[in-house]
Amino acid sequence: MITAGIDIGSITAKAALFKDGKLLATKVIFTGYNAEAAGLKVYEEILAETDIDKKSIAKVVSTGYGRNSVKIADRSYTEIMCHAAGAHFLNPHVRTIIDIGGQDSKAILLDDGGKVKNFVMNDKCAAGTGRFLEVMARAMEVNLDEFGALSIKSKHPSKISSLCTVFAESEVISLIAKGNQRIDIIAGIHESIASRISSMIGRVGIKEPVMITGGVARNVGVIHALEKKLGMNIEVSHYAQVNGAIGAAILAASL
Amino acid sequence: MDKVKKSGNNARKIKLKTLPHAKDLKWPMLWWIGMEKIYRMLPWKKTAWTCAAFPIELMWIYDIFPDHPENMATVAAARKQSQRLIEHAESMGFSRDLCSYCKTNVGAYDTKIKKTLGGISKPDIVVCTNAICDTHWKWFQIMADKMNVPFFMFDIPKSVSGTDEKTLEGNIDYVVNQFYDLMTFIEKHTGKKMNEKRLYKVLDRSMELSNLWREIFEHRKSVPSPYSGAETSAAFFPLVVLPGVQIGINFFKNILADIKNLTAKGEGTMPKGQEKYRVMWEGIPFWYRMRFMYDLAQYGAVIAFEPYTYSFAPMKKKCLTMEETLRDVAKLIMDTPYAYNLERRIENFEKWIDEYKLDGVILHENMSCRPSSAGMVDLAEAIRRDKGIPVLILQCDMNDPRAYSEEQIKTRVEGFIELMEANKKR
Repeated sequence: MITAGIDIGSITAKAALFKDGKLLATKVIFTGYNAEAAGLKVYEEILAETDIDKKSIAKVVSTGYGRNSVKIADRSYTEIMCHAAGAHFLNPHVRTIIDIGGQDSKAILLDDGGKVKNFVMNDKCAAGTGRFLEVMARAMEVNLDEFGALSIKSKHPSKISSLCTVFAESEVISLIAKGNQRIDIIAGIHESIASRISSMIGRVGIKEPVMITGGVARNVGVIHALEKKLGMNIEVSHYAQVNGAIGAAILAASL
Repeated sequence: MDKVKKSGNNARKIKLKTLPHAKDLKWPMLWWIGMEKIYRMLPWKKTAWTCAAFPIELMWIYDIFPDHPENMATVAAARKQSQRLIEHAESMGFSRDLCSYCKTNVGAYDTKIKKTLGGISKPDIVVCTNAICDTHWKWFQIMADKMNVPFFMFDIPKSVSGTDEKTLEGNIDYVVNQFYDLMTFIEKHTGKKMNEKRLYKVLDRSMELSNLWREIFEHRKSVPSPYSGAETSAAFFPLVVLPGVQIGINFFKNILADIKNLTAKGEGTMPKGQEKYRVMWEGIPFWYRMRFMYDLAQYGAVIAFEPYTYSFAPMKKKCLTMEETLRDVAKLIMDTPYAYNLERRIENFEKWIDEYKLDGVILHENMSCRPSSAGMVDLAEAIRRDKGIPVLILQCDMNDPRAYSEEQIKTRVEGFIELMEANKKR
């Protein structure tokens, strides 16, 4: 039985295909302004790439902020359930998931069987999300893909104290004016995200092993800062960005 | 493969059935609005501003109309006016972090918004207490200054578990002494005199009103739930401003009869067989988004119990002398659940979870209200640990719609529903 998971995030739309307990394929595209169209597009593209006919797909589960706009889905689940199912598939020992996406971040606590025990989400604020990093990368005139790697080289991270994206941006600009090194400022930005995320995780009660999922998992600077702040290793899967879609495909198999 | 799409979020179009007498809430409301007009028209009648946890009965005993800034602030929110009033208060210099009831009241008074939209007029006196909220104190003082109206505030010590009898008695003495000061203040500034005969009559009615609400809650323990928090959030209005007034009693009697009728037939507020999750809501509702609790029905969830409206109906005692009465009122004011320390709150919550057979708890961590939000993380943890049911903390605000983000709240609520669903499968 083949099942599909479609995860419509604020920045990217992801799809995953799952067959008899095995991951077949994943796909990521930009969401753009039309979540419904993005859902259909990513679904059609993954089917085209794998040469699988729509009729062979037994069930579809949608997730992410655009989950309700995916008309072809049999049901939707929140990202919380899907990230839990995905992470449990990738590593059944994982007990805490940190999911940092484009517009929100979550900490999800799992029990021994991989079921969600508790979750917390960020406040209604861009700080501590992928969007915050995008704004900061723009202010620093650095490509987002290089942003993480650059910061690891810093020995003296700058201090970014502001909790607000807008204020943090002006703080960054003033640090540039003061002559702080670019890599130090970027490292400071990552540390500020790590502080915010770690206080959120505190509310859920962290348990090791910890896995990071969501698009921001691609940023090694954030992972480095989080590991330093939490004093523990964080597992990063190759599938971190598509973990929600994988989880959705897994949940579809049990419908 | 045929795809049968269930509508978004697997949600179904399920609606709560409101009680046959639910609409009769308009009578106590109209009575209250009408009374205010009469009290303002007749020169010998007086009006006051009062606050939550203030013994409103005292105002009815003195024949003073108890206007209520918080109550009117909720009206403004329900009528979609609170945001502009809050923004108006902020433009006057009030901080964004200040209580949204306070800012709605400041904005409503300053803009002279209509009564029906949550407006409020200048009273003869302003009386308040810090029993459950320390913002009341400065907020009412500022407004009294602004309106040039005499102001009285009485101070309530916090009574927590473990406080010894001697300290408690001392605290009661302290509060009762302030009641006498308050009476002197009222008599001086309104010319009204204490009427002992009316005192016992008003307090008897207040006790009856409380008892009726408590009895309604006894019936809410039934499965399926006959009466949702969606309805009680509006229906408890008589407990806020009409304790001691007959019209509220009549309304509650009809509601109770409706509930008894439903439970006798084994029916609930949800359509037959649709009640899947019984939920506790703790905290002040989102007044600008009253539909929130109704909308939970689409997931099969009903607010079967909420400590907030229940806290307005403490067990009252029949007293035979004025001194005994004042001591009992003082004791009740100090014994408000929102002043309890954590261990007592946890104990109460866990008892309610068992009694009302609850599947989950939603805690409103209210940006405007520290007393109702304090200790929520520990409370949630204790409930999860001891009762094994999901607890959702929603960070929002009671009167400021700017704090309400539709999609983010939806994701949190749906995640919570999924946890209850998974919990039931276990």
